[in-house]
Amino acid sequence: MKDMIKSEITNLFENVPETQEVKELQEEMISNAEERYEDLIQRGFTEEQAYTMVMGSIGDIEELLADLGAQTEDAKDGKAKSEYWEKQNEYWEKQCEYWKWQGEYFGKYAKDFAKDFSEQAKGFGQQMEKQAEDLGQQAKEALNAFASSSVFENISNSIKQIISDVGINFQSDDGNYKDMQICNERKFAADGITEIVMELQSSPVDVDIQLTTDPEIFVQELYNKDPKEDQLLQYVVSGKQLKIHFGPNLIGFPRRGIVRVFLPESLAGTLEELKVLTASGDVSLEDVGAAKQVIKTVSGDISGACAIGEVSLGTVSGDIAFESVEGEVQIRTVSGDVKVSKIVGKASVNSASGDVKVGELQGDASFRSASGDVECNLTKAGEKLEVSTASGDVTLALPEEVGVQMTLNTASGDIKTFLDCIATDEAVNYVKNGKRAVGTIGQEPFLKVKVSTASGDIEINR
Amino acid sequence: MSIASDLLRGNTDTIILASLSERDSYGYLINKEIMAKTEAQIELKDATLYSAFRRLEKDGLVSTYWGDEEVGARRRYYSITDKGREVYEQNKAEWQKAKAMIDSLLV
Repeated sequence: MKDMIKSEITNLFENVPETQEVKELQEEMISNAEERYEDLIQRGFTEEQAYTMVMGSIGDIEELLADLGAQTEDAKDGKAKSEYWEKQNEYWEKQCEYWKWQGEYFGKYAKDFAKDFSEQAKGFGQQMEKQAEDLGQQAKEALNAFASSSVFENISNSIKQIISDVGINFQSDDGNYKDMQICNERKFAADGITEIVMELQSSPVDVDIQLTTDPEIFVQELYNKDPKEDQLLQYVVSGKQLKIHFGPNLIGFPRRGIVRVFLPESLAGTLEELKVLTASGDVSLEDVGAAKQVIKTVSGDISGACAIGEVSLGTVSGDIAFESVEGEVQIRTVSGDVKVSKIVGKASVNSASGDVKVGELQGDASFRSASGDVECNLTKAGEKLEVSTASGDVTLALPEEVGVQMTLNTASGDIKTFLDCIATDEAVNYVKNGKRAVGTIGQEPFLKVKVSTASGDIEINR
Repeated sequence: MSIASDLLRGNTDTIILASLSERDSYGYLINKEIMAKTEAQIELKDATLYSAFRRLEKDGLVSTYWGDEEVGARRRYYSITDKGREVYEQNKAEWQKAKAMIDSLLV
């Protein structure tokens, strides 16, 4: 990632004459950017997040480039590039805020766990009460402020300004999809393409990826309003990569759109990477196997048939639904629900308020949720299954004939396990006292099941 | 916040001079100090910062030299010149005056 910062900054200057002055400025920017990156990593951001934030902090370098003797066209290029990174940055900041909060919460929670549970529950209650009181007070003050001043008018004016700046038309019109028409169609030879990257973070377009018997890659753009030439998507084939992204002009962009991508069946399973980033569009895909699949959206839903390989799915408020995922799966959402019928491999799912439901799991998994419920049916045991929630309930089903070592903790919820009834059996070593249950059953190697929750109920079935 | 960002834009150079009047510094460190002082409410974009550095250097208000870091990339340090200090004091006085005037009109 650090190398990418260097090359991305160097790229910004690609159209500027390479004078000593330019070389020095580049070196200066790179050294400062790298230090910022190191700092962000220190503060706990992932490499990808830190990278995007660093690129986002560069800002509009058009003036700087023009000053250094770049051609106007190139300067525009630079501006589009920097605007793109700013948008990326905004998106990640939103995501990061949430993960930081969750990280802090879980960190603190884990530390407190060793302490007395009742004490913690009491503190928790008091904190909530205090928070509720504060919020109530805040709401009261805010209402008074609205009632007694021109604040409301100011805010509504500035929102209007933002809307007109961004060029979004907020008039509700559910018939949008009906009015969609094909505005652009493109075909690309599929030979040699192993990476497909769609970066559509700035506008509400849906992405629909399907397989076709056609030998070529075929893309259709549908919008509910005629886009200008420079508002259509841009397609860049470089080497093995096909990259699809927005052009520089997003002002007054059609309010809704669909991008349909038809991939030849011959590509399924041979792709190295499939990456789709959108802001509020839904993403749906057929059985496109790729070694690495990354799909991220802010408010759109993600739905898919079958994914194979390294799969990373993320939304802020959209739901995630997949029929089956095989490989290493990472799912992150804030308020969306997650539902996967079948996971084979290794899964890590984090959710704040969304529910998580895995119909069938074969392998290892780790689930974390704040208020969402977690439900998982393990049919083939891996080494471990870990779940932690704040207030969400946890329901797990384990396969028969597997040695299990379980450690279950709850602060104020109930614990119910299949061992409750057969605790006298010789092969069973099981102790349950109210809020904690520890035990083993069967032979080694044990499947390690660890569940921790603050106020959720725990139910382990077989 | 748009008033604030307008004011900020008009005073970027002075803000940088203020930071350099305390000691020599480099781009990211200056920005980090600005963020720390404003509780992360203000952060200069790199583009703004480097444009300002170029302007200040051209006007002879700052001079620059490369650090001799043994580990990692070299840093480019900036140092305020005597002329820079003069302009800084002058700008600061003007700001105080303008601030008082605007206060008398708005408050």
